[in-house]
Amino acid sequence: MFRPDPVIGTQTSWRRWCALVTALLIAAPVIAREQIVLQKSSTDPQARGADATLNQASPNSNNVGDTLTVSSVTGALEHAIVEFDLSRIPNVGVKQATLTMNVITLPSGNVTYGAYDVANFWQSNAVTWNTRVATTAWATAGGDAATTATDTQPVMKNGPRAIAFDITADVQGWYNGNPNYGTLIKDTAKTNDQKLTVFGSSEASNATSPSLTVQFVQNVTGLTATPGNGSVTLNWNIPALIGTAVGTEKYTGVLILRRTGSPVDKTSYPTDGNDPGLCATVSTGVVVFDDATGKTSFTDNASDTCAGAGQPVNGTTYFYKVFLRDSSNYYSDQDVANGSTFTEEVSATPGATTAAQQTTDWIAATFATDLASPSLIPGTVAAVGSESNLLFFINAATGMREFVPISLGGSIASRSPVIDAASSSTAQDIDYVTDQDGLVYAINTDTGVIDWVVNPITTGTLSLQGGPAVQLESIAGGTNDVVFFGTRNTGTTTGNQIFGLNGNTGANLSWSPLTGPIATTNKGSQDLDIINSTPLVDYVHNVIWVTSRSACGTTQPSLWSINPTTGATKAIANLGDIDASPTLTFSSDVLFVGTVGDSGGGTCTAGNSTIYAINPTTGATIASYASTDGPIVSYPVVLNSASPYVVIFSGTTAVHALSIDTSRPTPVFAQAWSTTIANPSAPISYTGSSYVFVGSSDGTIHELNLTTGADIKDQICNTGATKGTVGDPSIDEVMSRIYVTTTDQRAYAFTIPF
Amino acid sequence: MFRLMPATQSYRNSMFLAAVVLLAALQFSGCQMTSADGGTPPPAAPSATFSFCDKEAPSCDNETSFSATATRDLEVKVSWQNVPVGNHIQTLEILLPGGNLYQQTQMAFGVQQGSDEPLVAIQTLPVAGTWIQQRHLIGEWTARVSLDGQVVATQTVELTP
Repeated sequence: MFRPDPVIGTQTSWRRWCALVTALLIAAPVIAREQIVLQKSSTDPQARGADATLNQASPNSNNVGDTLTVSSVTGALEHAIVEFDLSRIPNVGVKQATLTMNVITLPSGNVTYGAYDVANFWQSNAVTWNTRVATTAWATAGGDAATTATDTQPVMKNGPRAIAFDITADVQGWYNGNPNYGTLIKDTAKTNDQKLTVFGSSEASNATSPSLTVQFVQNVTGLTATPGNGSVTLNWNIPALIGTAVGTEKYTGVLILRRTGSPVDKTSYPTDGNDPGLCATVSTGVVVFDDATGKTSFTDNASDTCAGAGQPVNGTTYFYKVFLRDSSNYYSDQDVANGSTFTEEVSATPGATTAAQQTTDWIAATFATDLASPSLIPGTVAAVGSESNLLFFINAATGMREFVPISLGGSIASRSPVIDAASSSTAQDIDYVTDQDGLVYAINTDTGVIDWVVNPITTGTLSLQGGPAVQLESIAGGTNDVVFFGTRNTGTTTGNQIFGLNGNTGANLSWSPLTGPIATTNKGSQDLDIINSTPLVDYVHNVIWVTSRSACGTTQPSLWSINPTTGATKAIANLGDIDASPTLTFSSDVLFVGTVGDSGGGTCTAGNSTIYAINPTTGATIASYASTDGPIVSYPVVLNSASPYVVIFSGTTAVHALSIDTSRPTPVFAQAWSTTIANPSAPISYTGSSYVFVGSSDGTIHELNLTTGADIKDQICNTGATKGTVGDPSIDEVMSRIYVTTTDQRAYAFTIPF
Repeated sequence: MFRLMPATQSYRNSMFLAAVVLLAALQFSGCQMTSADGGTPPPAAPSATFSFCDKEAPSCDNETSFSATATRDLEVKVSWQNVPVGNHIQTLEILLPGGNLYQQTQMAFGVQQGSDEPLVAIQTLPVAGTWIQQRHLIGEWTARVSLDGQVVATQTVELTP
């Protein structure tokens, strides 16, 4: 607990004054609550910004130009839709946001316009009165938006020409888990008053482009927690100014909330304008540090005498949420009714010995559940999806957002592969994403700009669950990377589809899609059930491996190899329902895959997996192993660069290691070890490592000995009141870190080995 | 407390009391059909009810428990009543056992003047092959629906092994 030093001394008044001023100049950074104006210019390209006019009179026309029009002319209503790129202020708590529309042509009479929060994903180069992206229609023609305007403003026939809408609540929502689909401007009148107003667009000159003025408080940077014996030391930095100071306010220090066992939840944040005071309870947190002198370190130790807090106890995990504050007690959160989900946080577990101490490298809010393994550019960025339509790009070193999360059209239910610029045919660091809005995206991970988004079918909406796989032109040849994925249309067990898209443009390949029943060379037409998995690119055999369900039986295939150039089926196997992705050995001489183990018949209940070793040339089974531990989770992991191989997979209650020597005439699986872990995630390891890492529903990541399976040490994500199930891990060998997401709506990073 | 009054005053007070009681009764009985100005009745507040279905099941009769290992998709149906005319945003939150947010989706819809069609919003929650099945996210889930930012209804549903 921090206690300010008492004022000591008997100096004269002017000396005390000088000393005080000097101390303040030294202690308090000369920065303040900030304001920034987001408006397209030579210095602010607003790369993710967009705007358009939706015109009822030409309902299928995309209207992007120098102007935006709002009209209430009967039969020719027009709405302006505007979205800003907030990537200059990714890690902030928003206090005020004002959207200013600049009038070019005033209306013929006074009107009242409203600013409405848009409720659906749209793209400026495709949006029309009827459709929002590609061929996908708005639910309500003219744009899906909130019923009630966030703000209304009069537009007078004689001016003024700058119309300012207070959209603070919407912008705070965008920083608090709601997708940012921008703002719709329309006439609030129901009577069609035959008036229209022309505004400048982002294509216009800077003077008339829309602008968004945001007041905010940044988060601290460089937050770390170092556990000790009965203590935890936090360090942080007060960030440099990125806007202009508001008035004379200054960042003066931080307020830290602490909670035992679980992260400080979103209902726990200080109210702007108030100092709750040291030791105050703020919902689930206790104020353990309350500083206004610019300190950047705090040791939580035996001097902490707050009731309900107390000295950190060895073996107990403490979570800290650090709020930067200014001199008027504005804090780095969204002061909103449903709670503030994003403020910097970190955790640590003190211990008597170094070995017993634990700490997170970083924690990042993801707002909703994601259990897919984060995809990486190692040492640079981790991409994490969310079931709330948001895609996060997290700085691998710091855990800070690279930019405000990308708002997509639907939930992201799978891993989205990131390709670095050196490997990508786009020459960009690029992330390919599928979502449950039926759309496929290519997103620049350096800017957050959506390079392309497509609905790969002309009409209707695909159902997508599994992620995309990317065949790299730099390895496979050709002219561009290719993106493969399959559909999860539960309306059919026979007619699902496999797609191949040009990675540079999103265009379908000539054979795409393959639609079940799929013609095969020697086995006639074969039905294609739902695909829950991500395909696998096999460069050695020049095929794409796809796993599917098979109508709860073995009468139709569940393993497919497809020629990526022609779409021809090269091999199929009837193994029974498969949800897991397959895995190849390092030399691609054996493919491993695990089934769902469905019971078959009408009920089709998931059972115990069978693990198969498959000849990737023929699709024939080399060996199989019947598990007794439920269906396999996500995918098997294969270790060793040559046979004998070690195959590690997770079932319902344990992690299992099998060995198999495929160089023998009749290979067989042999169990190497099995370690009980509660609802384990997919395992992860790598050749040369001594460990296997696996998440669990107990809220921890387990580090297992690769040779014996012994559970050596665990790292705690969240084992307290809001304990979450830990998802599939990713390993960043550049940073020597492991990243996971959990159902407690966060991503965590830990140093490995534990 | 009720106190006896002299006859005349008592009568007047009784009449006043009766009027007050009548107004109060109308106010709280749910039978009040006119607004204070005697004109248009005030609109009833929007309400919603949930129902859940295994999308592949031949019928679905108010089931509240489903097998996570045998269900391919769970349909979450939200039936709306008393939704005023205009455009609206439905926000459906699916909460895990324990209360953490699993999924949040928004759906826009419009209600036309004079429309008496039933308003039913259907959201499909994939189960088979998802984390729900693979990671045994079983127990009592909660569906919570909001209309234009205001929570209107919540309902639990059980996912069993």
